[in-house]
Amino acid sequence: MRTYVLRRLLGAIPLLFGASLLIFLVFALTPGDFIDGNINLTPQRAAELKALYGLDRPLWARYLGWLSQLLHGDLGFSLQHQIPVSTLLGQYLWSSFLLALVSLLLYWTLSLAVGVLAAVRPYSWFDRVVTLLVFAAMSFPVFFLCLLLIKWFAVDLGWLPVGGMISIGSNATGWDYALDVARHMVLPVLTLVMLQAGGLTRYVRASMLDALAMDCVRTARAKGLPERVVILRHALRNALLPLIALLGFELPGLFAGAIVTEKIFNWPGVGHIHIDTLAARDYPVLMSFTLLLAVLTIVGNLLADVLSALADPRIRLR
Amino acid sequence: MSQPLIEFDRLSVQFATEQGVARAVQDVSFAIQAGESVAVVGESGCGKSVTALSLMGLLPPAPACRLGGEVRLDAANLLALPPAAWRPLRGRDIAMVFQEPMSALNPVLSVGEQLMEPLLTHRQLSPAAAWQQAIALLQQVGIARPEAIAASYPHQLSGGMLQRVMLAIAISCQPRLLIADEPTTALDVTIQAQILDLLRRLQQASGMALLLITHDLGIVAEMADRVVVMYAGRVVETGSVRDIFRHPQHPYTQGLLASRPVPGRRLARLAAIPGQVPSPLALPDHCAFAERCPHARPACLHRQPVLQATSPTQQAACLLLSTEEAA
Repeated sequence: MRTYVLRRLLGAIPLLFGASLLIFLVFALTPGDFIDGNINLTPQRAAELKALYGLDRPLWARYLGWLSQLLHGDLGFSLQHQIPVSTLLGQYLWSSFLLALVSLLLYWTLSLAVGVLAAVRPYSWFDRVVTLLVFAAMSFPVFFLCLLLIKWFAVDLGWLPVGGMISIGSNATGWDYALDVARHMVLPVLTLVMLQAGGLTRYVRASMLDALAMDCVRTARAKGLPERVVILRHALRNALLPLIALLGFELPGLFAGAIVTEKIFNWPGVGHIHIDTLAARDYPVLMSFTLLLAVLTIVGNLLADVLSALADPRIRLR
Repeated sequence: MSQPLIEFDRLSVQFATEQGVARAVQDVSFAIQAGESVAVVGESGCGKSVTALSLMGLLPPAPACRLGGEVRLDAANLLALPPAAWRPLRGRDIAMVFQEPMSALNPVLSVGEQLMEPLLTHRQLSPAAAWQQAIALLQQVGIARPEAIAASYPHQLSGGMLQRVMLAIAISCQPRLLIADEPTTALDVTIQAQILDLLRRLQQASGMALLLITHDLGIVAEMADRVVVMYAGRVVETGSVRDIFRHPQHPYTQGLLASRPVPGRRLARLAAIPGQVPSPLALPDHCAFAERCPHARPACLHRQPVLQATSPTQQAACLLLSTEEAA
């Protein structure tokens, strides 16, 4: 197992170089840059600034420059915010992570429970209601759902704050602070759960239906085991195997930020600055952020493979 | 005759499919005495396995599958039992071995864990005692290095080994009836003989009854006391092994026996029964074998034959037999 993980990590190095080249080229070859976007600059001043930021150098020199920066642990400098990218991301990344983690835990729990129940009694009224709700939740546009929740719970009923992460002017610390953040989280988390739980529930249901049709489930029943044991121990364990790969892909999602949801609820997350930096063509931030997600995708896949091997004796890591 | 262990009494099984109602089993009646070996033979799709599954309560629930008649264990109708009352009988009084040992065991649980489950459920053994018992059971079914095998997973074992494990699971709670549904069909010929030999030894040692489902007449001759021949969901003939092999009464049974290869006799072609089994979706109201029967008469296309005794130990369902008697 240790040699396998080590080999996979070494194998990830060329993958990362490939990803970095691709990311660089996408942003470098896009017409226009941070300087071009500012129409107030004289052509002379623009040329001066381009020379200052190294934007006038040939592509390969810029790529190698960025790469050597990265290898020294330097993610670059944000042109728009005039602070290091790592500082900028550090400010926003964790609030996104908090939001994503809480939603992830909730919608996985919800989807597993509902998906399994629906699969145990397929085409029952419960299954039909679930299917209807799932498709309803999946077909709602995000922005509409956000605005609807704000209107109902924040404006009409006044139970919850409209947006932000803490109340304006609040100096609360300790439990009061945690409670304040939790109150602000309810609506964005609800939105994210509703958006994600639908697809995952369908996936769990399908996987569980496949597992329940396995011969070994019939054997388990023939042994006279209680139905609960048959479902949870024999069927669910087999149904979880394909879901592990899916869980691995959630890792980058935890840090990617939810652009629309964060924007509407004014949540100070990384999805928020993602869209702002894109508008300003602040490429150093976007490049580093995208590369970070590439790293997390690779790590997430590796984790999923290791978890699969732990859960499924048929998989041997070599 | 004493109270039989198992009695099928006019059992009918119907499946609701998208094409219509499939009558998988119709009016099946036969009994199994304690300690007796009964073989159910017939072509694929004749209702053999469905009959066995109805005894285990493993058929799909009500709207998809409808049951009629009775299946009695010790004179108590199993089909009338609520699921919760039926479950403890499975694995304890009636155990079952399936056709495909490769897929019948759970790939993510070790052999030992799967062998311990019925012991923990039905005999309330402590985990340590169940483990010891599991090792002893593996030894009993002829597995060398039982500790190592108990710790391994199904994918690491061969088909023959897995079928031995399945047998160990089946006999773990000393059932009174073992159902073996084509237990050797998926195995190599040499392994088949070993498994059948083991099955017979286990049966002799414990005195359990055996319901053997097969299409292999060689196995029937070797293993069974009594034979039930099924065709298109109905019992067409039943009798002792000797009766069935020496003087089969039903044309279908005669056809089955004629289509066996006989060592030493060289034929250009083996005899075959012409035609195909009718679909359970469209069974005729008359004798289902009439279209394929070499002796069919006009009456065969109008009436459904019923089982009637042709000797004290043999019964057959064929209109030819009754007309002969009448004549």
